[in-house]
Amino acid sequence: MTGGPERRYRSYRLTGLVIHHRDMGEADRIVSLLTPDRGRIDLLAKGVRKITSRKAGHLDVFTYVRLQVAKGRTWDIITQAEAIRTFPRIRSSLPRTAHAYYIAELLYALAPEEQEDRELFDLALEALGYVETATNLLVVSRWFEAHLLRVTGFQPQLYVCPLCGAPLNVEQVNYWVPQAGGAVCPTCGVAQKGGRPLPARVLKLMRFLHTRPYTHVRELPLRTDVLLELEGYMQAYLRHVLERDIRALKFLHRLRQEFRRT
Amino acid sequence: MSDPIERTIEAFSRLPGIGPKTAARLTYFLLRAPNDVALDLADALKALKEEIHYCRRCFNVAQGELCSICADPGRDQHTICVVEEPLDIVAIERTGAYRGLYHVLHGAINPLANVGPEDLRINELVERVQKEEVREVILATNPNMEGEATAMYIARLLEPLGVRITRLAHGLPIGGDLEYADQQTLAQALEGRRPIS
Repeated sequence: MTGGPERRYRSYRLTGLVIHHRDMGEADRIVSLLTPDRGRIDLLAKGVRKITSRKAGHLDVFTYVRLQVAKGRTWDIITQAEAIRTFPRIRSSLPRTAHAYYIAELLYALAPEEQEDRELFDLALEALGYVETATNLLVVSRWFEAHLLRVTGFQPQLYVCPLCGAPLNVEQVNYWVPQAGGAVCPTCGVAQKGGRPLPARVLKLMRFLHTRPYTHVRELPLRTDVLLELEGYMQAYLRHVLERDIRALKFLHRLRQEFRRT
Repeated sequence: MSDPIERTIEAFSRLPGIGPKTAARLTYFLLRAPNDVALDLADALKALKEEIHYCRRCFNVAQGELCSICADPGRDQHTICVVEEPLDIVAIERTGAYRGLYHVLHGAINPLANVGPEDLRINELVERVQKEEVREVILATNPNMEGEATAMYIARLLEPLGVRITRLAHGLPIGGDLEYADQQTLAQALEGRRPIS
């Protein structure tokens, strides 16, 4: 394992955001955290499934937490936990919960393990903060995935055709070809298998989301149908990057189908 | 190692919380123990799989078509307590404070583990509420993110059916120290405070 001088000692301090957990043994859990100093790490939380556990309430998913950790042979063990920030509105609203799960799944899949990445951590915390307060959650998720791809080095090509190098004309219909790296010019796009026409309104919105802070994006009067259209393009791209479907999205789609307000 | 020993070690290793060393220790214990210890265990396991199945009404474990709770006419037939696992029923029954019926979901919604509403017994619960004379549904899923998501999802589905929907109270565990309570538990305990009478 890498890390600062604190790794020489038997225990160390850590702050991070809980993005995933899984049960282990009788009452233990493996807690996955996104940290600014060490990227994604997995730690053992003993006894946290017991109702009397002092740590359990501090280690639920979507909690920003300060930890004391003891080094162990297989797993490092959480000995103390104190929540720095919780997101009560995410917890009490089903659409917010579903969008937060979507963010957590993408973070879990794309965050580097045991590698410092402060920008990614700040983005994660910022995005969950917006899920907690935003009125339009679709905007938050689209903004987050755009910036996540940028920070993790998977930014799709939006300005120059990756196949022929020609600048993309944003006023015409280009093509979306995830396996080619993003937006492709019409000439190259027609010949590409799996390519999909990319309307100008979607490419413009992509460029805007990828380059602007959320505080600018939220001011735009974005139509739900365009945001959902963009979601389809981004899903195709993320599926290509992750090489699998996004599970949390299945849940979001189900909520949308059943309750029509997510 | 001869084959039956390997097979037994392998079978024990598949159980939760049992690693290869414990599996080997249990196997050699059974090998040395009197015959009836191992054979009783084998009989019990066989009966467990052959005789126990899920209650067709509430999906608790049952020996017949209905579990002992659903088959008991003395239970309050108008209240359903929704739990994640059959073991949760055991915990609630131990309190002696509840006399209604149950419904076991067999899990909780957890998108990160690929468990969605379609993997749980949620449709069956909605059907029960529609068909039976249910007045109250108590959502007793675990007080964690997955349990909350499941409770909120079910509440939304049941809302149009006009039934009273309640959630188990969140609060401080007896015997705990206030200073160690997390913010969310403490905030909910404050919200749910009651006068001392």
